[in-house]
Amino acid sequence: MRPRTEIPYQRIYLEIEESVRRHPNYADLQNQLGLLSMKQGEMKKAETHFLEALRLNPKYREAILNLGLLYLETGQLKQGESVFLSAAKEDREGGLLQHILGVLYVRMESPRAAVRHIRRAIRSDSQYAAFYARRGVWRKGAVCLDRESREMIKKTPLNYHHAHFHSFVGVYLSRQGDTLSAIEEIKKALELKGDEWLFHANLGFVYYQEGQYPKAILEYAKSLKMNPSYGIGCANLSYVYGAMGRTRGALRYMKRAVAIHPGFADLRYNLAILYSDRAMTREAIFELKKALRINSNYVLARIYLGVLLEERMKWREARREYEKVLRITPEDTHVRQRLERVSRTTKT
Amino acid sequence: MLNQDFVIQSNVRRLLVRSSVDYTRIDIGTVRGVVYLGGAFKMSGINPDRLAVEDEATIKDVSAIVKRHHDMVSRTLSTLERRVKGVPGVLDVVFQFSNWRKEKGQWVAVKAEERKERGH
Repeated sequence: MRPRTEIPYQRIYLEIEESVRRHPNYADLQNQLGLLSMKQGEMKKAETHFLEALRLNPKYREAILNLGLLYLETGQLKQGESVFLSAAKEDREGGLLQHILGVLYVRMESPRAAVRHIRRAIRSDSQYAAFYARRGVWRKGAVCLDRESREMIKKTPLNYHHAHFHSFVGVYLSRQGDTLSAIEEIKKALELKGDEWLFHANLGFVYYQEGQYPKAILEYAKSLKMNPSYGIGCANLSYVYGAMGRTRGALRYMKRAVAIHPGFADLRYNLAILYSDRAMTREAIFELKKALRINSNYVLARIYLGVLLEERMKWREARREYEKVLRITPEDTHVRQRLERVSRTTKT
Repeated sequence: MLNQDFVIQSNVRRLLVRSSVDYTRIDIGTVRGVVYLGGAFKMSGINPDRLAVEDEATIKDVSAIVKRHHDMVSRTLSTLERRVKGVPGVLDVVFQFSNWRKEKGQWVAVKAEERKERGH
């Protein structure tokens, strides 16, 4: 077994700090530096960066969560309450926010407010019904907060910000090629918050990077079960099947990705390739034409369309597409050769 | 024989994801075994300005820094080309990067003015 490696948090901290210096107006970077500062124990600095992320993007959900949870962790319950209440005003159906508020009010000894928010959390997400039922709080369709259950709820860990920290570090390390450490980090995130679809997707991506395809499929499947409208996850899962040579599975998920994001030309292009590989030329041409309607300068889609038209012996149409391609990329010798061939055929 | 363009596409994508290249800026296409790589070529986590800052004390000559960066990108591009050609089913690779192009077997950086002219 591989020994556990030392994760270079300090190095990542310095790198992100430098990135923030260079690009202070990137909310993502501010949020990441907030997480890293928090992990270094620099709570004041973390607060400053989360606040800056929210100044740049007031609806940045992850930064809202991180800031609010940082306040709770440092015992600033009133500030935490204010962050979560204003976020919940914007997102009344957000189960997680309601759940956090519920726990927070139990901690603040405000049982009536706690009951109200726990009820809302249960209403918006069934996983909270199970959570509170296990703790004896949700009984026969009612929220019951007796002394014993209140003590239990008070101890509920609210550590999603730590989970986000590990997931972020994992993704960062995977981009630097350290996939094994990346997997370790994302698993830590999942230990803290196993029901987060994004963490499963991130882990799936790193497994794909590593070539561990069955594990990648499993993680993406979990992620998509939790968030069925995650279109990019569907596309990524399609690539995993593609790398395995399983084009039927790839087609299934790319179709789903296109259904979720019909305006993404790139997804339609990939779907067209899949149709073509499975000898469904008519469908492939349809998708390519759609992709080109979305982005008429999409050279790759135009080349593919030309090739499919040529293969269907629609010489004139193919020629027209190749000519358009060469107006944009005149140095493409493959397309030039194809154009010459098609031109010869149309002459004869 | 069935076409395998999507299988090639997925494997090339994985290869890019595993490399030190910023794959998010690259467009990948595969047409009957010919792989197209377009968009902007950038190495992840490496910035020529940063190289300048880090090496300020040791490298006084700016052109030496630029040359070092150029050599590093050229080497990476050559390795990438070799690896993509090694993917089963790949017949050729066409590079259409907006900021780097191959001229007589050598990688050269495309100047900003030229990029503007070409509409990138």
